[in-house]
Amino acid sequence: MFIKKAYQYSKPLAIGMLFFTLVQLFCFYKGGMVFSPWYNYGMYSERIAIKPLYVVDAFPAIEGNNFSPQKWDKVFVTLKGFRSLSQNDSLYKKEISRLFHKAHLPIPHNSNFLSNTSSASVKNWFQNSMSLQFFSQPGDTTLLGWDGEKLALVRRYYQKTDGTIFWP
Amino acid sequence: MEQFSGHNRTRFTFLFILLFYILAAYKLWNGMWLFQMQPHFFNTRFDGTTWLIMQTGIHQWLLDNKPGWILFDALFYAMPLLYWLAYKYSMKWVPWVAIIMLLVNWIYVQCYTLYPTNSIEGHVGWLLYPFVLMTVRLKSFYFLMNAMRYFFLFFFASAALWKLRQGGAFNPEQMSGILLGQHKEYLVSAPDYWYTLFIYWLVRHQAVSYGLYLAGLLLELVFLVGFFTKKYDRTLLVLFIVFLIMDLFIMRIPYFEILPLALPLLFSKYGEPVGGVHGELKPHFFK
Repeated sequence: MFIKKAYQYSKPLAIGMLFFTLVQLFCFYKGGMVFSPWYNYGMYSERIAIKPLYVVDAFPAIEGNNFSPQKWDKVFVTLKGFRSLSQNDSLYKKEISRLFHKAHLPIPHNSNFLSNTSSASVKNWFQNSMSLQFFSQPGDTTLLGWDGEKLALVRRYYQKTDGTIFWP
Repeated sequence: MEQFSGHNRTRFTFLFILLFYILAAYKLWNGMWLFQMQPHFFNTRFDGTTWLIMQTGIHQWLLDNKPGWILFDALFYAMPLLYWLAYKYSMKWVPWVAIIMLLVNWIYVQCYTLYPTNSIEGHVGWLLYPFVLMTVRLKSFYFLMNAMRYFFLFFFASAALWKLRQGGAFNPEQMSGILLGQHKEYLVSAPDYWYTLFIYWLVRHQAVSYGLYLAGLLLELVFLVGFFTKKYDRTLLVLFIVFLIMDLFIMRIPYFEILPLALPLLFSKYGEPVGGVHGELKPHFFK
């Protein structure tokens, strides 16, 4: 047995490995909060249904086939990240403060947990940094059409009707 | 059984560093270095260790901080090279360089993955490998490398177990739902492109897409075999590569950052090294 051999070779090494394994299994068992470097690797394990409605960000000059997956994510995952900034706030208020208090640790100041930015500054940053990287022609800075509030230029919908899906 | 030797360790280290720099070049090409990402905001995650690190405010300091990005990139991408130099010319420096690598990797990865668009789970290899590289003793290296093998097996097997536990495995609509959620912007942006048509076809044919999901689950489940025997490690390696390719093709998720985790599978055929407790101190280089 591997751990037995490791123990025969070096007790601290084996104890370290055992500790790592136990914490990993604990995180797996609890399935909620994680502690780096112990994570859960669900990979789309939760039930995901076809939604009747999807809100889709679309930029007229961006076509998926011209983008590598990374560059595509850089636009759309960033947008998603911006939309979910309010979760920083709720995570801090509902979980971080509570758990630090529970662990008898001083409650951390919220400045390090809240992303202090505005729609306007993100819009400006998005246009400057992203568009410059993605579009070689100056006229192609179509992100200007982005409204900055919802980070959605166009909304289109997928609808499920009687088991079929509709898209424009 | 052939024993794990200093030569094997050198090969392992070389491959690890080679992979690191191939991935570095790949990320540079795709604009994924920190100085190219130009982070402007961050998203807090449900991770206790991250919260402790966030209290230093280092992730805030890096926002809109061009010199900071360049400094962090320089440190992160220089560490494997420094390690290789220490490994080649002076083994006594190896633990120290690895400790610095550990610190740099932790700070870099923790910050980097707080900004869009990277998940920290995919970067776990960079957080853990410095522990393996830290040791001078060959036997310690052997045991830590094999511990990483078990971790890699867990990585995949647990993904399968999660799918069973959370019910994704029992939802015939699962993969169609995933594909629409994952590709919705792409589908709208390029409605006539062959890839769009292919994804739509998969979404419409739920039996096929669900079959793909179950095939993925089965693939992940197969990694459990590795806990009982090393005999099929090469097969697992092939399955791992298949997983990465399918993940890229079907999901457009480039999960290459976990490639180093699979390295121990290449060396699992070697048995415990000889040479007493200390093993071989000097690395063996290619001739």
